[in-house]
Amino acid sequence: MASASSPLDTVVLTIAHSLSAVERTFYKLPGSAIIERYVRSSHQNDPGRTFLELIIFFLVVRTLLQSRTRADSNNAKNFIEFTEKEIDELVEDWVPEPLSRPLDDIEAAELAAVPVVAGPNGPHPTLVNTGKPAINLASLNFTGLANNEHIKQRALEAMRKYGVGSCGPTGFYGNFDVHIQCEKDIAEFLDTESAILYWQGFSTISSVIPAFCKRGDIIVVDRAVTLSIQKGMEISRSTIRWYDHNDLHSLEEVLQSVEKERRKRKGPLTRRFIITEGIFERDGTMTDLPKLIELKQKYKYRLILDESFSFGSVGRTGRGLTELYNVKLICSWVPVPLDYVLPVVSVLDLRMLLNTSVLMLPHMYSQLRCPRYWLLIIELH
Amino acid sequence: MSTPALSLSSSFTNSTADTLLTQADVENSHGLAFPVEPPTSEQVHTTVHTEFGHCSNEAHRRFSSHIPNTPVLHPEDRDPPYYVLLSTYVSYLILIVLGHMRDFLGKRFRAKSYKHLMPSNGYAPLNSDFDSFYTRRLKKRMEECFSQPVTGVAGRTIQILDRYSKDFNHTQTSLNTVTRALNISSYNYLGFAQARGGCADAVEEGMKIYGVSTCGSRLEGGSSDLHTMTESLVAKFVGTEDALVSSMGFATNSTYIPALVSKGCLVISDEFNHASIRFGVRSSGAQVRMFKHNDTNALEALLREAISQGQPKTHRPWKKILVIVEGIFSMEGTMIDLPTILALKDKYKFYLFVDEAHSIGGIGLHGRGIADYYAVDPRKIDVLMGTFTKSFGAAGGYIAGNKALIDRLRIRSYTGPYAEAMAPPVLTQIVASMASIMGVDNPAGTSMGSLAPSSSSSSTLQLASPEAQYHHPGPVPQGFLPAWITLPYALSSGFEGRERLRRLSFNSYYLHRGLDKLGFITYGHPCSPIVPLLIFNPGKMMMFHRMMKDRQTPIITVVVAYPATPLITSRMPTAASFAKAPSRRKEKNLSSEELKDIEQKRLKGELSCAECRRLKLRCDKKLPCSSCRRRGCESICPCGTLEAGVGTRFILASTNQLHSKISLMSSRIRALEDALAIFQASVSSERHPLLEDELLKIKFGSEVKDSEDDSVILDSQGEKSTTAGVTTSLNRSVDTTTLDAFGTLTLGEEGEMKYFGRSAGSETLILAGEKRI
Repeated sequence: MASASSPLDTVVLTIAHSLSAVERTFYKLPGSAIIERYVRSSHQNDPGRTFLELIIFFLVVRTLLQSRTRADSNNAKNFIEFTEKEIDELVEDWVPEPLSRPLDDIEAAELAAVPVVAGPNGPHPTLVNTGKPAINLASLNFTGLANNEHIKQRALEAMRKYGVGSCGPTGFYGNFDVHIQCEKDIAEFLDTESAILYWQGFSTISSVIPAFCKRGDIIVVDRAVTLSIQKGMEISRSTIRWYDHNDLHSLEEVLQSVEKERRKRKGPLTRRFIITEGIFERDGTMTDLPKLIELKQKYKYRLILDESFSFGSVGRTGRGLTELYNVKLICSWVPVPLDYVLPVVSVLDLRMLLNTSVLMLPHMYSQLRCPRYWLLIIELH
Repeated sequence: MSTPALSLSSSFTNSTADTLLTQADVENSHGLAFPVEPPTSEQVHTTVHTEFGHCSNEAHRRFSSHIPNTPVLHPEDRDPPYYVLLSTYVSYLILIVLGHMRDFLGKRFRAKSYKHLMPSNGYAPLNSDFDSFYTRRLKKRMEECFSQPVTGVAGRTIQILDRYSKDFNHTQTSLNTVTRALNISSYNYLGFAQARGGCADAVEEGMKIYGVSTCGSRLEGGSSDLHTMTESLVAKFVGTEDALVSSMGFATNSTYIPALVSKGCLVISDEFNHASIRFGVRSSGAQVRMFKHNDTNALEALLREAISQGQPKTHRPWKKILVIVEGIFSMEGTMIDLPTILALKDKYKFYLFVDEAHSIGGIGLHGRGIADYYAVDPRKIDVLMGTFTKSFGAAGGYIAGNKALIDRLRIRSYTGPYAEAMAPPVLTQIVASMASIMGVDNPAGTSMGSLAPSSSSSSTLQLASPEAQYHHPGPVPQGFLPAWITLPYALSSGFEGRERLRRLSFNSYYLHRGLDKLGFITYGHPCSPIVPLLIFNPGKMMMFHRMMKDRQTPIITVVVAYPATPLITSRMPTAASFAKAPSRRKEKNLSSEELKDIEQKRLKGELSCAECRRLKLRCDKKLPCSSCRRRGCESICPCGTLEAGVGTRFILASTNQLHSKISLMSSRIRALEDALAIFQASVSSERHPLLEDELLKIKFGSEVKDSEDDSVILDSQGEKSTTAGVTTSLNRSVDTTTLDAFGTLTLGEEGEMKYFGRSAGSETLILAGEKRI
């Protein structure tokens, strides 16, 4: 008996011994009393609670250990196990599509027909394609300021002071005093609080939209807005509602339906935006700004107005739609990419530019209603 | 002092006010206005010292290139001590908790100043999420470090507009004074951002002809012949069939990636890829998977999984898989392992998109980026993208690839019809700076006019080595440039471009090693011009920034934190630019040492000499230290290290010195030859008897003579051989018959022998030792 129980006793003794050793070490650790108190109070004679705590603990550990770049867990049920050999075969079999199809004849002709101007662009440029001069109806140089000698001179002076490139984004010492001054001048010109310059017109609006519109926000937008606005909305991941092109009745209907939905859902108040263009790039129609502002204020929306084509071309002094309709925008933004009207070298003194010129544009937008390629170069024979 | 060499200087020698030594009224206590060591009479400086640092020391040059058939360098990530990580987390925790408390209390008791965060008048607050919280509560506290307004050229130095804040960084008040500071933050790697000099003159010329804008998008009337010319030059530079340019660097990625992939395609992207790539991928509609940063094993595992599993749910095979990586990662400074990725590409048939925003013009023997660095054919990479903001001092970006691809992108991406075309001054700057890096074929005919030696028609040393994997395109033919561009001789010969590349490479290396030695934790590849210095604690960021700015020689730094980096590793990416003279660098490093109390010190006694560190000896930190003296290598103390291996160490130590001496002497020979040739040309059209082809060849190793074409004529531009010589050393075949008295035999770690010909220069020894870093 004694001989039979002795190994068992030894084992039990060892376990008891080591347990008490663990206990002693545990109590020696700083903060062990807190853990003990926490475990006791959470247990409260209820194993279920301890079990729950343990589950939470393991979940936390699992989350911490999870790789940042692992596949989504919802893919797991779709995952098929393959052996290495099978994977090798699948890799062998896989034939990807070509990265790009070569151009077909029509596309090649389209590319070849793109006008290339020899030398400076202007009202009568010579084309590389034909070698002949042409009347330029395609240029966006509405005011004809692009080759103004005075502007050129100022640009040269700026280049001789600052060089060409700023060699870094704003945060990397690319924030020059001329940028700041130009932004101030634009803000003053448009009578807004402040302004911000972007380098490229296309990315202006497509960066501004996702900066403010986030998931869950509502954007109500004209059906015919330009591609950069569409791209910006895509990136923002907001809820998008469309209204008929330049139809403010349709806009009001959409606004009403959004409001109805919100009441039904009783959700929290989210940001709501109306996005449209001043003069539409696609067909040259103009937004009825006073009516739009009325609607926006009635339904408490914020308005983002893309004035790419109206800024510098309409209004008595070229200040765009707000001047044309004599309205003041409050709590709205007017992103104005400067590229179309003003040269993109952003170191020009804008004030000088606009004071010395009379900005006039006949109502060309009403005459030009063909979509997309609405202006082409006509060759002179 | 009208030595003939001075006639090399560029176009503005007429205006003495611009030259460096006459700025008497400029205060120079910080050493930024002119060099501490004035250049000697033979040294030609065509630039203003504040824009472009002069460096006369030939030893401060280096080549950035990968030696074929050697393993790719993977600098290990060094982890900070745990207490640093812990204190960083605690700092952020305190900041976040305090911020939320202030928001909570403020909204209740000071509702007026928190109006913009609360719904008012039926409008939801404009910014109310974590981004806004982060901006207000964390970034605003150190607003001083960000978006500092500057003026003047973003060159070697920059003028910052002084400002201060009275209300804890809520607003900044301008002081109307400027401070000149050493600029280690602009991406002006090769210093082509200049308001004076050859490139600026070309831009002026271009602006006079083309104006400042082409007023339209590329497909709709905004294209000019200058665009076409720039694109073909870019293609030539990068080494691809065709290229296109886009007016904004960020938009190059964000608008062209959607034209490459669409629904049903998979994009595999490095986890630290730039925001523009993510933006582009997100708007393309393709699926995205990410792999661990720069880990080719993880990439392979992911590829195997993606190809075998196919599209989620349907398990259909992917239409195509595009792997997007950056050549040099903008926030990490790490370099991709291109050979391995290309091997994977062959096996897994994916398409490769390399964003070379930071590597183009920055690395490689000829500055052609990552493909040049690894000496692989750039045509093996499907899409090469890069920007002109960095090395070229311009703006915008390019995409290069085969003709079919580029043509498709031209007509089928958003940029073509919608985004404005690149402005002519920017195009001119690109053309001029790119041609300066490449060198212009027959430059003498255009810029030197009648002074040109008559025989200088074709000076290219095309090394037609049959087994050469990578054939770098060589200088650009004159026909690729607009006829009205006349670059000064120093630029058009490509001499200055090469010097700039070699100095950039040295400075990058120097900065990496210097910061390492001071005990800072840096990331990245030693060749990368970006050197991120890790700061970790948010509290130290502003302090570091301010202390660097308040030094006697002010240094401006950029601190970068979340969201550009992971929350914990806030850092200071330092852009090494060629434009800094190393003496400045040393100063920076020494003073950083003063700051070490606020810095990560990995080891307390880090400052023992490098050789003692390698051998784990106790160093008495003298100069030279006693153990180095005892071991007979005091010449390399305290910075140099010897190669491991019995018996080779002393040979290597002395050959190193010998080689640097030889390279010094040969560069002096070249300068003298140049001077002689130019001088001779002004008196007669005959070649000087001392400049016979046979005599000129003394500077090259014999293997060059063997492989060169008979038609190649060497003229006064002896410096061409520098490039050629190194190309040879890269494509070298170990041929014992060409052993040369000046050659070097090195023993590698596994006892393998390598022979470097004389023309390899001392730089190859650095390359050979690169494994040691």
